[in-house]
Amino acid sequence: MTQLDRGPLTEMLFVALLRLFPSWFRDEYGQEMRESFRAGVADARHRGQLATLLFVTRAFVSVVPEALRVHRGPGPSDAGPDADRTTMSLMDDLRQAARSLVRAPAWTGVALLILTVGIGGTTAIFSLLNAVLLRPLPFNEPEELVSMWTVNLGPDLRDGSSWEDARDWLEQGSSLSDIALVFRPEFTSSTVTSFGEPERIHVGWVSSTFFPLLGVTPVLGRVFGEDDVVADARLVVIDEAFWGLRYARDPAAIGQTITMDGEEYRIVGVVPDELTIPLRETSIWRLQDVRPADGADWRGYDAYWVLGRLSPGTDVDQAQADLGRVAAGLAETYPRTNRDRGVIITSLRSEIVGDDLPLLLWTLFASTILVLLVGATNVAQLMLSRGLARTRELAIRTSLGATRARVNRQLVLESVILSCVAGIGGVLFAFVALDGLMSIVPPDVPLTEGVRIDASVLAVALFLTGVLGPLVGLLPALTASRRQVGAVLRSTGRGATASLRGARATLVVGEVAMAVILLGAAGLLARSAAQLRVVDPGYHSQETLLARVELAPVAEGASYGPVHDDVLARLEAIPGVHGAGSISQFFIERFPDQTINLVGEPPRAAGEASPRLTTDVVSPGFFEALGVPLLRGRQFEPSDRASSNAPEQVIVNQAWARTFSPDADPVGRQFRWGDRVDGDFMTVVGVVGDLRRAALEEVSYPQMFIPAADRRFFLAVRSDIGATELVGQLRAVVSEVDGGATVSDVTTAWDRYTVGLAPRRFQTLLLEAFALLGTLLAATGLFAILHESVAVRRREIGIRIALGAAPDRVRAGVFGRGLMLTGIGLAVGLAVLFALSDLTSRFVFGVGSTDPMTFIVVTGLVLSVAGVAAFLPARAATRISPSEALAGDQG
Amino acid sequence: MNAESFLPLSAREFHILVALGEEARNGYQVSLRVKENSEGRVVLSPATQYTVLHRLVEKELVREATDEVERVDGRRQRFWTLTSLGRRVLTAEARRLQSDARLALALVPVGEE
Repeated sequence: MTQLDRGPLTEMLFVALLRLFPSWFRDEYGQEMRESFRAGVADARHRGQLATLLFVTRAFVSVVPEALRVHRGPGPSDAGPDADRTTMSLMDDLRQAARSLVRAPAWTGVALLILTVGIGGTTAIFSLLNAVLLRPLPFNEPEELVSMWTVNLGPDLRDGSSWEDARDWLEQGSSLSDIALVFRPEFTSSTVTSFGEPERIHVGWVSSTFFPLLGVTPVLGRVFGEDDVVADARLVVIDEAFWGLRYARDPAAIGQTITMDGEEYRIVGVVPDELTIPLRETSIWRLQDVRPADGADWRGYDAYWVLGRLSPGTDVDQAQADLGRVAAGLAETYPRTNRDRGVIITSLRSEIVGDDLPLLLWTLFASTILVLLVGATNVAQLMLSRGLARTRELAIRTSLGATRARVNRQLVLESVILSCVAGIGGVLFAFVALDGLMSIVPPDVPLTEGVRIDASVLAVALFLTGVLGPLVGLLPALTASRRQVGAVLRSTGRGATASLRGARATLVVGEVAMAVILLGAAGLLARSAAQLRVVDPGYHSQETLLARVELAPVAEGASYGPVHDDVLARLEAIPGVHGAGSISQFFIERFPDQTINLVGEPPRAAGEASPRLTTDVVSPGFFEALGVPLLRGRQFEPSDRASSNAPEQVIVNQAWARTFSPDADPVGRQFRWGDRVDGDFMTVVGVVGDLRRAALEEVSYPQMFIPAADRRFFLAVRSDIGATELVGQLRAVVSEVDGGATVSDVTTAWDRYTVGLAPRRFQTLLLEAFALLGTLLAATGLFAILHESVAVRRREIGIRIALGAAPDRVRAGVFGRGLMLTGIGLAVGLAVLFALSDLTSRFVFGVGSTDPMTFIVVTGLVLSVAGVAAFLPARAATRISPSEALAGDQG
Repeated sequence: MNAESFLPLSAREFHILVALGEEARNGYQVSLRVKENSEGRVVLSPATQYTVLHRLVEKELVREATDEVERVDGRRQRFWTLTSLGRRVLTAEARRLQSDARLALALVPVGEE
């Protein structure tokens, strides 16, 4: 399964290419050619990828000469023998075309450069897109694999699922053939102590069906099976990288044990590195017995991410409908746990790639195509003007007996040679460009391990080459063939120009429009990026260092409070540290899923959706340490600290206050967990500013903080010491207080946001570069056409000046024409941007997708660049000396 | 019309005429048969095939076979067959090739290598 097999796409391209034939021919044979193509592809596919590639290329490439032949129409030259002569003279023509290219090295060089960079850049971006979005995942029948989450109806938030629910989806529904469960990966890191220093490593906790479901074949040993599910099995599978790092790829690793969180697990197998589930960094998988041992009902224990394989012939939409029905039934049968809960099912690839990345990558790919088109238009312009300069040469060849078709063929052959050389150069350039590209691809873009220039990438490069060459050459050839030989020989060149003006003007308008689209998109992204830079995350993020800590376990019932206090006090004693606090989870890694019931409010009606919130455990001085403003009430005091199971005082954020207590002062309000109406309640003692803890784009939602201390937490230290130095001191402090503690994931809060912003910055950077390139190319195109129209009209302009035309008017005429073409292109480009605003609104932040400011700037930029490009030829026009212009034409 | 006036035929024309001379065929069958008959020396891409076929129809060597109707997915498939002129031209071309070949073999000592 590669790009080549995507029949409909290649078929659509083939049908598009058929438009080169005259319409009567298409009406007569179009459908037949299409079916023949389809059958040919299907047949070639049985013979492998190379055969398919050959067939498709041959089919594409042959369209151009055949279309030219049909355009030329029937005539004596079409008699049988001609075909043989044609083949014989092809080599001559090729030689002739190559010679004529070499004779104009500067011209050829520019055309080659534009096409090479265009093809290479597009190929490089495509290889990224191919790896992330198109290439099949490295599993058995990957298109059947799906991912399932429980969702809360109302606020559409994803949540884990229980084993009971997942089993019922499989058994009561008809759309799944098997499932596997993975414990929610954000909770499954372990401290590994087998290899010296304690180390935090991510471990996938997977059901026995996990490896068989994906179809992962071990490189050594075995994977988990049904028989392994016995009490205290304690088995792990490791990946090749871990095997190489820790066991030097020694087969004796099988059967050895790894100590994780103080317990020993036996290695049973080694799997390939390409397994990046549940997380990319996962290199140990632990067998998880997902069935409640005692036969008890654990429905509502929403601990699992569910993977599934669709039954044959089922698609994701059908499965969604099917499982939706099952989930609705479960909600009726088990209202206590399943009320208001449904299921959402997506393809495994969508789960891995996420929602935003496909749009981002396709946008980039479309942009490179646009740049390539602008470049190709310029080359077509160059071909046209070269054809013009060679009008006489070609006319003479024609009069000496070369058929018109023969001359055309040479023109097309020149462009075919150009594009073939550019295609080869482009692929070489793509290797270089890909290295550069990969160095700026954000690290959290998944599946980039597979980025390489493979057969399908080459097929795209080949396709671009095959299409561009003829397209670039076809227009000049068709225009040239319309010229009358006698007229050209007699005329001074001007007659031929007139017939070209329309075609060239259209090219320039197209170029400007494409540049405007690129600039508009880049502008919107740049504005969004600027908006994000000024977002206030709600605390001193640039000065705050964060570290994940896990303490050694204390005796049952003992508190972690004293350890926290000791660590924080020692950190605050370091000169330059302004404050230190602890919080259970700094970055939001789960969905708000808790509900509360306010004292004094009428109980919620059954089925009424209630706002969801998150709760975190913090040290008393956390908000002061980070510089989070206290808006009402008071901070926590050390005496407030409670067990996290039975808190009494809480601090809430502004969003909480807005949501739950919009009219009354939130301080002093009391509430209970969930739907409870009696028992212990909590009291709000303070309100703090909203913190953006997940991403800068995030919308604030209700958050609640309780003063307690847990075994696992984040340290947040605000200081003006350099991060590197502070990290060492922080590690030292933690290990002084608790020798068994681990410190991991050290980062500054700002860096963490930067990681989140990276895909956006990557997109903005590339689009800006493309827009710049596109604009420059379009300006060059505009300059070239005006420059040439002046050059060709030298004689006419000279006469007009000699007859007393004011230089100002001559200048205005040339300049005005340039601005008119730009204006039309601008209007077309802006119209397209408006038409695409639904699409662009998905990647802007803080500005509208039809942001007037951006569009004004784009308009101004395009007009001023076009102004410069038009001014130079306009000025040159007024400097034409009548006598020279007239004299120069005598020859 | 004099069949001789159409000679010589190009390799593509010749092989298409041979394929259609055997029996009426649709476009894709023609291309398969031509490739097979010529042992892979003549390969017709869809565009080439229909351009040549069109030329043969224009010269009235080939016509659409209205009696051969086959439906695929509800759509009528178009079949082509030789006209009597086409059959005469093909025969003439075959004779020409045969006599040329005989001439070469008789006059020039060629043997097994």
